[in-house]
Amino acid sequence: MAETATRPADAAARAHAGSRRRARLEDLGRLVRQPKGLIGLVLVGFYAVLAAIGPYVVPLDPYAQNFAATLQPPSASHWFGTDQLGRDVLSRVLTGARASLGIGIGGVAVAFVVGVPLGLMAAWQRGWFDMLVMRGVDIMLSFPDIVFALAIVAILGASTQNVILAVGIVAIPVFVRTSRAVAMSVIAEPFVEGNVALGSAPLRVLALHVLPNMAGILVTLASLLFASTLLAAAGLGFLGLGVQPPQPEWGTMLGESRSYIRSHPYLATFPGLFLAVSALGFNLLGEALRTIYDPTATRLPRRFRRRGRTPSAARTAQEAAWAVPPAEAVVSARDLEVSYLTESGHVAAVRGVDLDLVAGRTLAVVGESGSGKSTLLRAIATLLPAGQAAVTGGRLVIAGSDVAGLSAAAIRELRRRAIGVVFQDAASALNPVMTVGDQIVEAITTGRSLSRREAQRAAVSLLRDVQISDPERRLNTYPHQFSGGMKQRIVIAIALAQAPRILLADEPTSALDVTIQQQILTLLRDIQRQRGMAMLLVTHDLGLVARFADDVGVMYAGRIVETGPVERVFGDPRHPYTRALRLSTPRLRKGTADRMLPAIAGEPPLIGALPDGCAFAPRCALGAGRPQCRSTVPELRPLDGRAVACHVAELAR
Amino acid sequence: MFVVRRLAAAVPALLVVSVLVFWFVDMIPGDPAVILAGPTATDQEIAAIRDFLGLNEPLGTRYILFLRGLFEPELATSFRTGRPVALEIAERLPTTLAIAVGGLLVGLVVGALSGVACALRQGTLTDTAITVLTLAGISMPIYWLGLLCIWLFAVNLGWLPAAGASTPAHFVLPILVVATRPAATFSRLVTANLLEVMGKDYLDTARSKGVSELRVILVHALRNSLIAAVSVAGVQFGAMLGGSVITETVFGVPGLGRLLVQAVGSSDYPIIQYCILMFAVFFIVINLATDLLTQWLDPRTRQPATR
Repeated sequence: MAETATRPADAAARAHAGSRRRARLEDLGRLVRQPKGLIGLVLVGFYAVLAAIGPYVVPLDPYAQNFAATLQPPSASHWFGTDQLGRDVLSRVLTGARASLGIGIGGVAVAFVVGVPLGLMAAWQRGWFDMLVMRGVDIMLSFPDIVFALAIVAILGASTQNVILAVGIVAIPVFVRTSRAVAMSVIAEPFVEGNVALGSAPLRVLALHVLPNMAGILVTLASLLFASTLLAAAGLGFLGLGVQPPQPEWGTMLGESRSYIRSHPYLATFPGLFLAVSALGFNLLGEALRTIYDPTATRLPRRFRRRGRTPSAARTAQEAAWAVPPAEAVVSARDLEVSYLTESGHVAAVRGVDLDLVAGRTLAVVGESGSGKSTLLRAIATLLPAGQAAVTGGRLVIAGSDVAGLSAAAIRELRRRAIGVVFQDAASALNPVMTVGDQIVEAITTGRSLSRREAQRAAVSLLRDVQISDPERRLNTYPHQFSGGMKQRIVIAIALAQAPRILLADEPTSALDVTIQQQILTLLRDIQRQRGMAMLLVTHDLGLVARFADDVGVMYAGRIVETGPVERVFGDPRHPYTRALRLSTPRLRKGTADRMLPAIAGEPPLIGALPDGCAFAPRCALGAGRPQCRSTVPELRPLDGRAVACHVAELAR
Repeated sequence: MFVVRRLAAAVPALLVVSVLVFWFVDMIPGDPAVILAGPTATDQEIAAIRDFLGLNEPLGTRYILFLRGLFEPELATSFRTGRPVALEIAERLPTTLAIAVGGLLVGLVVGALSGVACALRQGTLTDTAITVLTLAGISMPIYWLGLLCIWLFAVNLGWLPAAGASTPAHFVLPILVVATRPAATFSRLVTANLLEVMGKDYLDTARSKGVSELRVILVHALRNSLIAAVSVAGVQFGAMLGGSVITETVFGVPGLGRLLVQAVGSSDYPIIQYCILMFAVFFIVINLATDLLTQWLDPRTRQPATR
């Protein structure tokens, strides 16, 4: 059973090997495209050649002493000068490359050969073996590494071989720890678990599946460790405890030059330079490799400048009429365009949205992921990530002021007084190292002068508003001491801190249990009604919309395709996309439970790669094939008590 | 409570380390008594030294003797000078500590400032300059840097003394040199952590409150990013103690590191043993302090989660 079962897995692994080779080539491409990687690779290559041919290209015998010409400065006959025994420094540096780099390679090899299997076995066996290995590593790490290496040299005596052992042993813990951690995560992958469950031999699984997946990170580590091992080994040489004279080695040469630093500084220059540049080369290479292989290596995305606003398309008279905001609107967006700023230019995620938030009413914006609904909310919250996304067209008026013309200070004032935001994931929306009280008080006091006691009292009353019991005691606790639902209540309290007129909720319950969802949404609705706030609720859950919103806007590919009162839009959807959404949602229609739910055919389009005409046309059953749908973008137009952006909305019955 | 638990956990580590350091003399190939007595010694002399060192005693007894040597200086004397090891170490400890603590402070301050600058000025000249400098910092052999500093500041400019430890000015170069690597490492660490934290949702929560961007970074981002950096800073400090071995040799500073190097060169085992023990104890104490600091910075590790 086990035999037959492993065969397909092996075949798959072999098929994998081909694609793996291709992947390796791609990785190499990514490496040399980085300046770090290219320079690192060139330097490492240079030193590899130097170590290989160094002893054969020396101009003079590196061991030949000449007491008539000691401590000569660099000259035509001795490019790097001569040392205290009259030996040619250039020849010694070239010859020393092999010993210096060889010790580094040897040391890393020792650490690799001992550390990686130990780490792998620890990850595989777990239990007592793992504990024993990790305790051993802990003990080794309780000595500073050069002291540990010194101790080993003290025991074994100073020689080239013992230095390799010493720097190698010192580097073992790093390999053990890393390979264990990486192996553990690879072993937990489904394809490895599957092979284990099918009864593959452990060694086979490790060799065939686990090791190849660790190769990248191990190469990275080896490169970085090579640099530090090289420096440590040369350090021992410098102390006179490494390679023994007269054999040339850069560290030892530096140690010898110490006595002459006052009178003959160039003696220290060249061995030091070669050593430092080699360490730099391996560090550069390691760094570049890490950006490819280490998933935890972080870099902030590059920031871009907005390149002005794109002129919005001229609108017809009918659309302009629709575009007049109602007097009671607290937020109104007209033809709003929000774009992500990328290397190749602007990519619009919100493409011409008209929207009004009215005091006392809740507008729900629904749509698939990628429809631009969260980007729209962030734009209204004035929280678009700086340098990565920006409003690139249209108008956005919040509480009477056009956001485009506001200073940073005025925008902060808007955030304080006018806007409250409830984020999707309360667990990450709260600062883990600040007490709940401090976070609420910060929200209450920014831009106002309140005494500490008044702020505390306000915080307590806010916590009471969001129905948290025992609020006085809770102020001094940290977010991790609360459950998910409670954290979301605290986020709501922060949003309400300065009595905003607009509440923006971005999928406020998608991270919560179903029972808690209802509580949070009921709380949001009650507070919104009591305070007469305008609320924007972004969600993908149509079931929530019917119960908690007054109006709904259906978003597709960055545009609102149908909007109006919930009962009109959902009771009698006119846009083919709204109809499809409704049909694919089981809870809204009675009697559909035992029927197959129709899925919407096709994939949602990618932003930046939209079809001409109506973005929904390729998936649309209604207007499919009509030339108008393929050529002209439908604008929102009033129809039957709502607005709809579809050329053939009348056909949807 | 946590402090007590963490202190208790350090005790076994100290014991294991002391056993290892003690046991290591037995791993030396050959007989310490023979090495100590020198090539011309008679068997009688060797036997006398063996007796004097207690090498005939059982291992357990010798370990107790080794531990007692910590508190009774006359029990452990240097092979080379005949003076109590405790005295030799005590004379040099302040020098080494001054360099290490000074180096740590310089390293932390320079590292944190440049790390923050690098993270906040991504993609600018500042970022590039700091990235290049930190890479140079971690690639620099500190013994070479030390020699270059002596040549520049002591020999050419004559601003600072080159060797010794008699005046405060003597400490400037060793501290700067020993701080180089920790500063570079810490800077990179702070940058990486700060960049990671900069993407966190709670910063948007803070922005949505209407606080200034400066406050968002100083109050919300920095503290979170320092937590991870601090634990690594501890390890760096330990590595810097190791670095003192080399720095003290470069600058001719009479400290613990130099003592150890000389002892290794002359097979002065009592000195080697107790020096290594001192370094290990330092290291464990530093890790302990780092843990406590992390604890203080991060409430999640302080209390168990309650609902």
